[in-house]
Amino acid sequence: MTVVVWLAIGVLGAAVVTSLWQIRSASDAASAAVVGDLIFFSGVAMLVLVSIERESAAVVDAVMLASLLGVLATVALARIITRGRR
Amino acid sequence: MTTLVHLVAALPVAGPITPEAAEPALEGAAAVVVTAVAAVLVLLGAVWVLLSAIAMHRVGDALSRVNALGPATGVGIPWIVIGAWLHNLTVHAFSWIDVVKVAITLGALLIVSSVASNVLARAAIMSGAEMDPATSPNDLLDEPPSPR
Repeated sequence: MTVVVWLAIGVLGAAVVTSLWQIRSASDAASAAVVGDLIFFSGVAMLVLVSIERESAAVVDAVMLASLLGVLATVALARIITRGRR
Repeated sequence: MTTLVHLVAALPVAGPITPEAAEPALEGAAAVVVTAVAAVLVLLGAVWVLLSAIAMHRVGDALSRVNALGPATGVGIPWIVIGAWLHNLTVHAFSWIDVVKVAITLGALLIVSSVASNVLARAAIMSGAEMDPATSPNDLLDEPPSPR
């Protein structure tokens, strides 16, 4: 299982690098915000994989909170893009 | 000082961990099968996230990128979470608390992130980001049809 976990972390790392490259060449702020969202969720997935590797219960709670409250970051970015207009 | 010693002596002592509580929920052949399923789910889930990242390169505008986020939050990460829970069954005892936590996480990924994507897509349109000219219908920007 350890090999699989590190393989999956590698795949997610490739996704993060691809996304960072995408942000570098993003034409508008909205695209950068969406790609940033994908990086956030890749980080959440990496946390899950770390919880498999470490067999820790605290990481599961962290993942639950991250998926519940990640919406705040997205909504904040959305408000920034529209300069506060709804 | 003696009061303190008495106080400490009166504190409840944690009992020994009973063997049943420490035993994993699944053992033997069942554990092997479940571990294999968990490994496949975790790997394919990561591949879904990577596919989502590649799709963001291939599409042209911000609105399509919001759509391209769907496979990651809707399929990839739920698969990874389910795989982690299945693997947890082969290591720890079954607990309903974990089931509730996994259910809340899956619900949040499917529902909360959908709402967040909707807000972000609306913001992308309102901010005047470039859009594929074929985007139709577009009620946010189009003039409302005149009543006949």
